[in-house]
Amino acid sequence: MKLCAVSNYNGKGYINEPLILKELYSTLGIDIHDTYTFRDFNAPYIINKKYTHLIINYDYKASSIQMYLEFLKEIKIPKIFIIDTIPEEHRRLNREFLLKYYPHVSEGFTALSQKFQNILYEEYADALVFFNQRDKNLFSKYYTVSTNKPMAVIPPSIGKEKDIKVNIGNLKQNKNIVYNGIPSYFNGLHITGQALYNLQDFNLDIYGTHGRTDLNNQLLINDLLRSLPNVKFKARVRRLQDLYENYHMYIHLPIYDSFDYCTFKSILNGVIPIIGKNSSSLEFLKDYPFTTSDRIENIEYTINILSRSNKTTLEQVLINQEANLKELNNEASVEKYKNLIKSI
Amino acid sequence: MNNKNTTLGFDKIYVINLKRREDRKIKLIKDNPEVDFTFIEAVDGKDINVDELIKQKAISTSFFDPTGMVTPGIFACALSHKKAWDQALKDGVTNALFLEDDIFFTTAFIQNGRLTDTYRKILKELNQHNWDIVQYGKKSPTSQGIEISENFVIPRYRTNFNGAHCYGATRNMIKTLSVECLPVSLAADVYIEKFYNTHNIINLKTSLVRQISDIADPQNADSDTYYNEYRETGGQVGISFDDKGNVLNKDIAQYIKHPKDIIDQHVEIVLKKHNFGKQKFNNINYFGITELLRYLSNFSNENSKMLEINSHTGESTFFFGCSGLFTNIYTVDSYTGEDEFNIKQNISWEDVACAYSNNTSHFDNISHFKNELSEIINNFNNLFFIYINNRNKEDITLLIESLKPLIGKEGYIGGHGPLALEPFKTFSDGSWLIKI
Repeated sequence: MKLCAVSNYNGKGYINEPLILKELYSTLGIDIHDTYTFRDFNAPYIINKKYTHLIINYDYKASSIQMYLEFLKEIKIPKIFIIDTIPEEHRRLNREFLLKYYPHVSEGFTALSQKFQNILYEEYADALVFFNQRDKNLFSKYYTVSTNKPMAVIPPSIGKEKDIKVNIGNLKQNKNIVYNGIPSYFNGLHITGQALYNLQDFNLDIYGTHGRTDLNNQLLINDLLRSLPNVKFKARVRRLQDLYENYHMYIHLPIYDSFDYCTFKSILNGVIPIIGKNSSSLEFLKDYPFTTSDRIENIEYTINILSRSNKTTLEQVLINQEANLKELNNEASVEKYKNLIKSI
Repeated sequence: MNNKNTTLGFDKIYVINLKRREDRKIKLIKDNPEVDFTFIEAVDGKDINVDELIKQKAISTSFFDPTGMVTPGIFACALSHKKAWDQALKDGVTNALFLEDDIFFTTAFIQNGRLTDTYRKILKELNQHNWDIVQYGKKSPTSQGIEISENFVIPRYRTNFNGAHCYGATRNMIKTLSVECLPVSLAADVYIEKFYNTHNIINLKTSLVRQISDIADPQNADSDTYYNEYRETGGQVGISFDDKGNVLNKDIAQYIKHPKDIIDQHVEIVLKKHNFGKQKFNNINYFGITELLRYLSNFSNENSKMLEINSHTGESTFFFGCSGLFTNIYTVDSYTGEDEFNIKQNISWEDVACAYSNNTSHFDNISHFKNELSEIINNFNNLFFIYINNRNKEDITLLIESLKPLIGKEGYIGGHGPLALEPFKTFSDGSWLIKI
């Protein structure tokens, strides 16, 4: 089994996706020489010759299907699509966001049409991988693909089993909250901001960049920054490890997500996450205590409870999650991919 | 940032200035007598030889631009920025401000040896941010983006249109800019914009440094990159397009390719043709058609011409072109009617024509006829080879009979798809040949 990967994520500068992809490639033994872009029209012939399976990481933010069809139709080896999120769910949320907050702004959601997405999945996927069970269910709601295609839920891994250890020594109790990702509606930044409005003694630092729905995200974050002096946007973080050094809490209250890599990394780095009830992270973090609904008073309450919890309690919360995190190890991920490949 | 007021808080200020534009140097010094500029002699677009620079790998064989525009001045400008970055690295700066010589400050940064209050506030804010590049001016008067402080935004990629006339960079960033810029494939400002997605680039909300050519009428603008030389020669240098997007002027470009996915691609301006010659075919075949061509290469001569029927997206045509076996390759496809592949892939004939163009634009010996075969069949004679893509899986016995007179003294009819006749030779992908 020799895997390679093709992606249109290259150079797009998102936050969560490259972290997941980097770990995925490393886990599956796909090095830089085994990764290709759709723009390289000669790549299919190399791929057909050198590899047994192609992993496809496809960013839905595309303007035309042509380039992808031309590439994929030349691939003769089995193609495994990583469905790292459900584009149509993003489209729905984008519409919802604009209706709620900016009804005068036109939709402007850049993605292949549902029909073209379906063509890619139906005609060119030999197997599909989802990051969580909810995405697998949502996929069936939006797309129609042959029932005989193998579909598996394989969450991204976060490291080798032996290296997945919680660093409780890093735990710092202060009023600093951090989020690393895209400041979007679907990531719940609007409700996070509203909660911070009443918690003026807490500081929220957001690291990240514009993301896919860049203009809408810019409108949202600028509204927060203008009205909340305790919220700062800090641009891209240079090293993920550095991110957690000064913060007590990591906050992620999405309306919809697929796998927030930094939630898991924050636990490993001694930063306590506050996780929204809609987050897919809770599929993997069983019995995690600091969860909240999207009601503002609940969010405020959870932040306050966490802030007042004593160090020993918080250390125990982190330690209790170590076993859950260990299930997201590279070795288990590889086994799941092997089983999926066997079923193609 | 340092406290040296004369370099506006940076270690040094480098200004790119053409030797023949002493006037701009004098004006800049005269307008800003308290600022300490280090001038870098710019590479002059008049002096560069594009072919030579491609050979030296200073310029890429393809140039990418949002608007499909290139001039020698644009190459020269990019190389001048590289020269300034290299000088900054040599000087050991921790950061530097880079200017083009045709700029002006919209507000005073320094007065009577002291930084102005406005600029001091800007510097103080700048020091609070985690930046790699800071842009003090863009082509537009204001920049939109995430408002990270009173004066600065993080711009969105491909908005706030470009401009590399005044930007600061940290030493690490200067290194990256210098290392990654060769061979030049982007204009200097488009190149800087590339880093929006990977580094922290911040812009002043209001451009406090503007470029003279950005506020002038293009007819009167003083710009050696875009206007001066090119206006004088009637706009015949660089690239202009007809209404169908064809390149009118090929002084620089061989052909252009419009992006297939506009999200992350600019128009590709191909400066140098690929060197396709007579191919030495690899023994390991990815494509049956290479077997067929290798066989034909035993019999073709320097005057061999061929005709391909139903060329569709030009995939086979590409290989005929690559083979170098034919002086002329004629292809015919009316791009009309029902086609199973088109229906299945949900592509239009327009898409097919576009794909054909992509596959064949590298070759200047391929001519396409958008006709029914019957309309043009009489135009051909003395062909060495005819290739039939039997796309509709029809009985082509009669067609082959009608084509035989087009073959010269000795030649072949070949094809792909069903054949009711006994072929002379077949190949691993099912291609076949009939000797005439």
